[in-house]
This record gives sequence, C-alpha cells and structure tokens, in this order.
Amino acid sequence: MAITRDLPTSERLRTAPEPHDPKPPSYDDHDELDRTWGSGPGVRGWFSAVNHRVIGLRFIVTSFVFLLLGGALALVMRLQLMSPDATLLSPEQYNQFFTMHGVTMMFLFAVPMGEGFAIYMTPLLIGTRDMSFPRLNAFGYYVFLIGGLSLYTAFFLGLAPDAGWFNYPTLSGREYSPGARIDMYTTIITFVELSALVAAVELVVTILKQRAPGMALHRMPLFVWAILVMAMMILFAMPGVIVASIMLALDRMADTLFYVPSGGGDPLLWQHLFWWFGHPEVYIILMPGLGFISSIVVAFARRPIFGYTALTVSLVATGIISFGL
Amino acid sequence: MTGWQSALDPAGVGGSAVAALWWAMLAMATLVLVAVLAALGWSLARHLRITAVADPIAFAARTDPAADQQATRWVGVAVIATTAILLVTFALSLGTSRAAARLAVDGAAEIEVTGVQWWWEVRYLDSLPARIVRTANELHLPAGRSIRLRLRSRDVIHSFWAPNLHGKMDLIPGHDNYLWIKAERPGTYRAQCAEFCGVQHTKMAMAVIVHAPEEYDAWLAAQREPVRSPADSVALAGLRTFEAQPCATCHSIRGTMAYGQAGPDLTHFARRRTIAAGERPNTPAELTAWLLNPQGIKPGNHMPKVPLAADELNALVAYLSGLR
Repeated sequence: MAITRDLPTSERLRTAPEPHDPKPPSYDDHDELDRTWGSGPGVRGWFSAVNHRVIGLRFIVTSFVFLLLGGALALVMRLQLMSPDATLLSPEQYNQFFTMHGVTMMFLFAVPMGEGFAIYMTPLLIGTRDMSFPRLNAFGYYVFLIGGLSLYTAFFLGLAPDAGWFNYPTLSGREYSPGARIDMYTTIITFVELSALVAAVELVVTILKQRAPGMALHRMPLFVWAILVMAMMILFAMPGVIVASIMLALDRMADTLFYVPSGGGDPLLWQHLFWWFGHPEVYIILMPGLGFISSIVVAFARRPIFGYTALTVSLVATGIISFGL
Repeated sequence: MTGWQSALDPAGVGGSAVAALWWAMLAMATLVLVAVLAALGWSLARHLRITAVADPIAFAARTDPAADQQATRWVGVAVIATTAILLVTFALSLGTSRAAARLAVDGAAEIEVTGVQWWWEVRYLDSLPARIVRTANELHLPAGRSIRLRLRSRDVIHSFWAPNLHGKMDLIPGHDNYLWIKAERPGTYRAQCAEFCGVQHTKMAMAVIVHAPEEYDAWLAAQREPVRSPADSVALAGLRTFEAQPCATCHSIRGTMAYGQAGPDLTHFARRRTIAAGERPNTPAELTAWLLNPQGIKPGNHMPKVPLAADELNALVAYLSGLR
C-alpha cells in the first residue's frame, strides 16, 4: 500500500528496479523457444498445445460445458420435484442424477473453472512467458478432460455413482452398494483431483519463482494473491479426498476394512478425510471470485486498491481458517 | 411458521434454542444486509457528486492523507464489526448447544432409536429386560421429562431429525450417539431421516407423539402387554397365516410364535398411525395394498411380496388391524 499510494505515478515508474538481464533476446533465442514450446501444425499440433492461454481457455470452455450438463441434471431434478410422487425419474435414477449433479459441479466445474482463469491470467499478470511446467499443465488438462468424459460415459452406460457427491460409507461400501457405480466414483474422483493438484503445484511455483523483476510479493495484484492462496489450499485439501477414495476402493475391491464397522473400521474416518477436503473446497471455489472482484473494482473505480495489506491478510487467513471452521 | 415438521414451531427445549438462534442470526444478517446496501447507496451518491474529472489518472494517483486516514478508520470499524459478529454468532451457537446439554439428569428414561433401511426401530429401555418395549416408526415421549435417546444404526448412516423438538443427530453404524431431548408441548410431530441413506431415504419418516406424562405412562404400560389371541375365527386364521407364511421370519409379535428381528416389531400394530415408516395411513385398505405389493409403494425396500390367497390376505389384514 505504502509504495503504490505514496508516490506519484511518474515517480513510481522512475524508481522501478532495472531488469536483471538487460540484453534483449535475439531471434535465435526466439527460434529455440518456438522449437521447444510451439505446438506445430494440424490436429497433432492442436492436441500438443502447451501455451498457458490455450490450456487455460480449454479449462474454462470444458468446465463450462460440464456446468451446462450439471445444470441440465438439476433441471430434471426440479421437474421431478414439481409434484409429490412424480414418476419422471425412478428413485434409482433420481439418486444418480443428484450424485452426478454434485460431482459435476464440485469436481468438474467449480474448481477447474477457477483453475482455468488462474492458468490463463497468472502468467500475464506477473509478467512471465508461461506457467512453470507447460507440459505438466497440458497433462493436467487432459487428465481433467478424460476424467470428466469417463464419468459421463459411465452415466450414459448406466454406471453412474448414486451415493451422493459426499459418498458416505457404509452406504457406499460393497455391502450396501454392490456393482460398479461407486467404483466409478472412487476411480474418477482420484483421477480428476490429480489434475487439480498438478495445477496447484504449477501455480505455486509460477507465482513464487517467476514474477517479473521488481514485482515483490507485496506488489502482486490481489487476483494473483487469491490464486496463490487457492493453490496452497488445493495442495493441502485434495490429498484428503484422494486418500479417502483410494481406501474406499481398497475396501470394495481388496477386502480391506477401513470403513467397515463390523471389521473394526469406522465410517467416520471417511467423513474426517472427506471434509478435510470438502470444507476448504468451498473457499477454494470462492478465492478466484474474490480475486476477480478485487481486480474489477480497481479497474472501474480507477483507483489503486485500498487496504491492500488487510485484504491480503484476509485472503490468507480465510484460506487457513477454512480448514477448521 | 407452524407445522408438524418445522424448526420455527418449537415444542421442546432443544427446538426452542434452535429457533431462538435462527431468529438471532436472521436479525444479524438483516442488519449486515442493510449496512452493506447503505454503504453501496452512499458510495453511488458520492460518485454522482464528483463531477467529471479532467485528468482521471492524476485524480486516481492523487494523495489525500486526511481522506486515507478516515477510510482506514472505516476499514477498522468494519473489521471489528465483522469479528464481533463472528464471535457473537459463535457464542450463540455454543449457548444453543449448552441449552440442549443442560437437559441431562440422573435416572432419566432411555429410549433407543435404531435406523434401518428404511424404517426406525424404537426400544423403550428398562433395567428389567422383560419390561423393554420394542416398536417401530413411532416415538412416544412424555412432555416435560428429559429423555436420553440412544441413536444407533444397523446398516448405513441415518440422521434423526424432529425439527420441532431438537436439532438433528446422526445414527452411525459402529457408534452409539446420545441426544438429550425434552418435549414440552403435547402433540404429534414428524421426524425425517436427514442423511441420505439409499433408494427409499425420502420415505423414511417417523411420527413423534408427545403425551402428557400420565398418558405416556399408561401408553407404555399398555405396550408392555403381549397381544391376546384373537377371539373371532377370521382373525385367528390371520394369526395362523402370519405364523405359517414368511411373515414371522422377519417380524415379531409378542405373545405369538413370531420372533423375526429383521423387520419392524408388529405387537400392537393397530395402534400405530402409519404403515411403511410414515408413508401411508394405517387403514385396512392401505394395509391390503401394502401386503399385495410392497415394492409398488416403496420400490427397493426390503419387504418382499409374499404370495397370499385372497382369504389368507383378508384374514391377515383382519388380524393385524385388530392388534390393539
């Protein structure tokens, strides 16, 4: 706050530190970069694109399509609920619909949409060429895409999970949910969350290591702060649901007893692990929105942000408290 | 604000505490909304007063220490107010929990509620095993007495929620959860399973009947009695059918040869208000429809369709409808 507010514009520009390497890049360097990161022509090139703006946009478009699918499911649910004992959906179908809706909105829309904006905007806002690991970035996108397509393929094949997006054992255990539905949940959730973890790792590294010379942490746009907090939260939260899902998969397929009370297991273990992820998840979704507001208000009010330090501290505090409250 | 399944129409100590918390939070949320809208309105009005600025960049970069200081003060006020609201809400929540916890008394009666897909087993516990009453899908409570509910599950996670009387509490397999409850206003209320528990979760309800204390004692004493053998021949044929057919494998009726434990106990069945866990009123016609095709009324439930001849069915309905 002090630095941006106390000096007039001209003075701030004059005192900005010099870039570390004043030598301008040569054309040879540019060709080298092109060979390494260019996507080449044709269909193969389309699939091998790694540029953060391309990947970010794909995240945004794909998760928007999933939003429409999840919304369509919700509309069918509302139709079913319009009158008591309506027969539009059978009880089994209704359970699949609301489970698919929840999983879609939480895992295939809300988080990937935020990540898409983060991946698109962050390098531009901090003045770097691309994300720290562009190929990993593309990998994360394809993991997300394949996971989402698999889930909807399962849905149309009649194998949609049906124990809610929270998927509590013992209902989701083998005894009360035989068949492959819950196996789809455990497999696909684990798979899709890998994509979130990959994006989080990249965003943290990019923000901490690749800022333009002179952009100290306390000069970062608030949007980038929000994304940094979101990425740190993902790093800590997502392993909870991944571990929980793997243990449930083992219960169902390898006769372990993590969640089976008659075998000494405990269904509460799932709730602890799941909500270790599920509660911060709400704020993981909120963070990019807070970042948007901070940027949009600043732009349209044509004033520097007021209370930068307080806002930053609030973002970080929200990220930490979200794990506990 | 009224209703037999409404948290805003409290009929018990816990329910009153929850309703009071709800109203307090509504008041605070309204205040916050009004304050935010007032701040928004003030900002818009102020913006209109600032006439066209000749040089927006210079205007944005201008320094005005006095205005900054004032704004900082307002940020401080907002931070303190927000923190205060957080702490007050937290304290109120704690107070609500304490109001419910203060219901604990020594020597209180204990009632065990067990969640089963998709019905409720209720046992009125007693130090003498012979005096324990086992019934289903109805919870009877004495007004004005603290009762300890022992909440269990036989299969998946369920949740006991009678919003007029108390907040909800989960029934978790492998755990005994305890809920102190004190109803104050006699009447009939509705409890609903509040944790998704499978295909018929929607239709897992329970009537909660709050009696005046003496009335409750009389009810419980009547429930302890085994059923008498029916006098008329049709009902007696119904009893024979019940014992000979698969019915007795899952259901028990105290005073007969039916000892099944998997399904609801049917002793004094005719005194219950509903069948199929609150799904249909307990009338001979509805009972006939249920026995003819349980899967048509609650698809996926664990009661199979038992093939019965017409006279067997009529006798069975006559017998069950006479189990007072």
